[in-house]
Amino acid sequence: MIFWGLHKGERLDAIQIAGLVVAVTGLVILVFPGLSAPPLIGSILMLGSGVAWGVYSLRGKGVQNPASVTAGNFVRAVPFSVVVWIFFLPWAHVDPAGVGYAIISGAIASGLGYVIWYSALPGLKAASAATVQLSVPVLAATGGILLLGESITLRYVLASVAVLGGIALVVVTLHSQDQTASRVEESRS
Amino acid sequence: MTASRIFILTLLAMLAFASNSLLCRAALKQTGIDAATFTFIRIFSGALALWLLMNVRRRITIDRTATPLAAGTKTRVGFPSPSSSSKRRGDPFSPSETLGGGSLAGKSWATGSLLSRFLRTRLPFHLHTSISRPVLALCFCLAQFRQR
Repeated sequence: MIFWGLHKGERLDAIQIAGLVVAVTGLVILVFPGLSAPPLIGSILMLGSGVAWGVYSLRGKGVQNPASVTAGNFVRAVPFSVVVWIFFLPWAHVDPAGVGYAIISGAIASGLGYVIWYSALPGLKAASAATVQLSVPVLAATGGILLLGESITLRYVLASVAVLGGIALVVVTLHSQDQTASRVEESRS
Repeated sequence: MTASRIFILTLLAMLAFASNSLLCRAALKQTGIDAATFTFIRIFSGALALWLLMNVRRRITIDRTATPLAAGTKTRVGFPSPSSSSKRRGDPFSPSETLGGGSLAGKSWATGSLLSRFLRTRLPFHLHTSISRPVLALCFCLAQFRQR
């Protein structure tokens, strides 16, 4: 997504960069609750996970039909998850509610989610597509408050306003630039 | 695609990704299921759902190309329908992709997914809430700065 945006020659103006800075600052405030360092093993795993996701995204950029490629990748991932599952079999514990959550998470939140996301992507600029994804942790935190009974904090409120406001600034200005450009084109023709 | 349609689709996708994080936390914190079983069922049902969706979409695309007169009634499906030629190139089960980059991407996806599942059991909530996508977005922001 990074290189895609650069490749397409999309540039951000000062207002959009300000919006990004506000949104990212809000996200950092939301995600890191204190100055306490996360556990070492957790950090290494998180880094590995991030790198794997990055490699995946870069290898996947520019494919003709991302939704069906994603479908193929899910199918290919099944054998790997079976191997890991067998490895952890001694600790396996099946819980009906947990199985239900896993099915909803896989089929609807992931499967259907990817199809919807890839159907929206052609209509978004690369910069907008990257920016709107900053909203996911805010939405997740909101869901945690509404559904999982987590407490609402001032930091959550401020961070959410910053993230969503920043995203709105970037997306709205990008969009209005488009409109101005098309109006100029119309007046020329 | 109209602007409001793009907005709604984007919002739905973001809500789906966010609910993923919630479902994982609810399952691993509030039910007894272990991370490996959860991951296996999740990937399996995701694969099944996507496979079914792609089959439905393929059928709709074929229907439309076969009966151009009926196009008006069949174009209003939820996803963009690429031409049949690009569709063939992007076929997930084509031999070239199975042998080539696709499988590597599949592996890194699986690794990433497993690692993040594992993390969700090890780290406090705020640290593992969909870290990977925002990190990517962050890289994009940095790239924008470096360019100036």
